[in-house]
Amino acid sequence: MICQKIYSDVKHQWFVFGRDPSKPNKIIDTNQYMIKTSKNAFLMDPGGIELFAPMLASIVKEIPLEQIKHVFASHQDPDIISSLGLWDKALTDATLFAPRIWEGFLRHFGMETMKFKGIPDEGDKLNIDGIQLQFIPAHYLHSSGNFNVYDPEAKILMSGDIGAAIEPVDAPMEVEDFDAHCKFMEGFHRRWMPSNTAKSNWVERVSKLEIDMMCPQHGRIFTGDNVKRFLEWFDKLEVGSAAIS
Amino acid sequence: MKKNTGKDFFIISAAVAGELFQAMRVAEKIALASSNAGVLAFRAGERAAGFGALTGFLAELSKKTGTMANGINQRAIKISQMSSNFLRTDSTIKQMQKVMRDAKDAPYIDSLQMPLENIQESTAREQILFNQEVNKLYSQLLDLKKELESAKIIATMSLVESSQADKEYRAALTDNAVKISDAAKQIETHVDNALALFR
Repeated sequence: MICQKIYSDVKHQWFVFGRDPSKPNKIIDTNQYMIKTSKNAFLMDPGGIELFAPMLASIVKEIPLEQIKHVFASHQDPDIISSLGLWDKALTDATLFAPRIWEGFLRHFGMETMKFKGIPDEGDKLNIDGIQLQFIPAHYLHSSGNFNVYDPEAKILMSGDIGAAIEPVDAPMEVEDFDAHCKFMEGFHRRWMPSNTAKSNWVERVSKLEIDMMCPQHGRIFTGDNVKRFLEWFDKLEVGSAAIS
Repeated sequence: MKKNTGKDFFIISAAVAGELFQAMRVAEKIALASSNAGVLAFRAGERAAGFGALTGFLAELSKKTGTMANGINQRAIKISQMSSNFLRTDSTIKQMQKVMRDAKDAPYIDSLQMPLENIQESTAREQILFNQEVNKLYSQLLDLKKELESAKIIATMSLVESSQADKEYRAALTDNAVKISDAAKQIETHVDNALALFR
């Protein structure tokens, strides 16, 4: 599994994990993210049960395991968090931050040790060693209870399934040619995103944020002007329509 | 009794719960049949007095059988839940051990050692509790089987007693006695099926 540091300053670093060559073929490729601060680590969308071992192996290359005190699940899907039952055993002092409405569902993956902090619909903030993170509501994009993580200091938005692309496991980690990349995103967004209203509302809110990097859970990271290009493209895209056509 | 593993008992305890659920339904039938038989025996008067006395025992026995079966069923479900937890723990241990082998040069690989030892210790404690629960389940099934021996004897005696009743009531009482006897045998079959899962 590739582990790449995508941001670094004196207080914290961002890592992306993905493009796992050992993953079974029929499992969708996913990106996992981690923020490392001086004393803590924040693991975002840690992935499916099949990814537990490769993720663990990649993480201990960067931090000691006990540093992970915070885990985040943007929503309840298996590719996001079906590894929960195993992390629950491996992490001795961690809290899972996830949409409040999904608690009863997420516990089906097995959660006895980990604490649960439900994120209210309107969003929330989390301070880790002076890094103020924001849970940005992204409901119905695609899940009915769904959040992004925004780091105003690094200007990074972890956007979950928004901006996702379905492409081969060896695809580059960063979007280079936005127009060429659209074909990998269109079908996914038209089919998985059910609400134009939710989409427009999200685009409007997120457009006001300063974003240097938008990091989806599948596909490639958007940097620089490609973030703005994505927001414009997504705003115009008719979603929830794939099933009709 | 076979050696216990979480994986085996994940399936076995669910199957035992299934058998005992069926047994409870049959026990309810016995309760109903013995209640009907009691009313019939009362109507049949002096000559069915022996049958009447037995129906009281049967009603009590069916109630006890139902309670025991329910207790066993609850324990089997608990064991099934413990088993699934075992499978998850076992999977975590195996995957962490794999990471410790495959990523032995990772700078923080040693940080896995303590959590792994904690999981293994907690699993060992859980294994003791798990074995105790499985042994209790097995004992409860044997106890239930003993109770069913009494039920079968009483059912046979009811059949004899029904033949003593007046002609008007004889057929109905015999029919009830046969139903009770058949139901007891059915419960025994479910309990035997459950016990067989342990061998």
